[in-house]
Amino acid sequence: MRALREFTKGFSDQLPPFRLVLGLCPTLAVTTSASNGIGMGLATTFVLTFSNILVSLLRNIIPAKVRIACYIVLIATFVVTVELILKAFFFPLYQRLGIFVALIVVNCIILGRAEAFASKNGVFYSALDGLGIGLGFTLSLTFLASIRELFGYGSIFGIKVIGEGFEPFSFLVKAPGAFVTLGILLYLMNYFKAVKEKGKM
Amino acid sequence: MKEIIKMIVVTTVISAFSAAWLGALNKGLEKRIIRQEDIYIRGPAIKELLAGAPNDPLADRIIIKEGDKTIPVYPWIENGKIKRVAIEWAGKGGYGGDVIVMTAVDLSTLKITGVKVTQHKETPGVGTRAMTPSYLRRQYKGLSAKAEIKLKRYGGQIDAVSGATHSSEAIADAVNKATKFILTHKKEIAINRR
Repeated sequence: MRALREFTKGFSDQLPPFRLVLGLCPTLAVTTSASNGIGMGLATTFVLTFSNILVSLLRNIIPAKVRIACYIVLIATFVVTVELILKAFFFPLYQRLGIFVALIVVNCIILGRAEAFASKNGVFYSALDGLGIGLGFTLSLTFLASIRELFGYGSIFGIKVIGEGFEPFSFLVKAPGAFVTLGILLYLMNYFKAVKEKGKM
Repeated sequence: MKEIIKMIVVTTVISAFSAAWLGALNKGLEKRIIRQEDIYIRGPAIKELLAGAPNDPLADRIIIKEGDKTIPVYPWIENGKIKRVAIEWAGKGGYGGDVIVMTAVDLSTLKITGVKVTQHKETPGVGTRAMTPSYLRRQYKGLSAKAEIKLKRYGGQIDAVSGATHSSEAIADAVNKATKFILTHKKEIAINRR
């Protein structure tokens, strides 16, 4: 089942921020609350899926020498589309994600998938690849954001879960907290991976 | 040669399609976006600047035409007369483009009663220091709308925030143009009241 494999690789061995360590700018910048994480993730998924589809459709038409320029135009078009849709229908989210939505244009995951996958594969697999990687990215952002929100504010998705007696580590929702949390998560993931591989031998 | 022509044609066609799509989308969503901005940006700003108005300035807006532009003016109406107006204007010269500022002016005293930044792309923590309520109150509240509003370095009366000169300048520009507009269209505003 190749289709299933292309879709699920975004959740396992090619999980964007943790395994590929790509797209760190939004990963670090917007993960201050779980709802920001999910919003940014879904916006990226939308752009990634559609840019993959179009790049795949046009892969035999776009000359190799100008491919990056063409990809950027396509990606930027979808990003502005997302920006306008957010502005028209989800204005409060747009206010919070602000400039980071525009930054999806230069998110290396999107250009990376266009270059490494969509430009070499058919439309169907490219769409699945975009959707899978995008949803994996969304999950990672939401997870990271939930940890930071939980310990930084004592809430998840804006709902208080830790009682009044808890003194939040407000450091975690500031910029350095993003690096620390991401670092710890990467360490844990690599550690468990190493333990698992050792067990196999 | 053939290759170069193909490169040019493909890039041009792709860009043209993108531009057409975005133009159409922008046109289609324009009204909705303006409504959303009314609810989330202009609404709260007007409520703050015209706090205490017995009417709803946002709903009672007066549309003034200047050239091919239409400019909404938000009035504070009391006993059938317009007491104050708030107006939004884009200030040029910001670090990240235009800074959109809402300015409120009292029509009887012709003094500025309040200033608030509604939209901007300035650097958070740097340019935004020129947008704090206390700075804006100190610099603008009570200034005469008849005076030319400029930064001190250009011979005006506004202190720029150091490190945020561009942002300060854009705000002063917006307030200056807004007050000029209100002064020129004072009569029209009174007549056009619904």
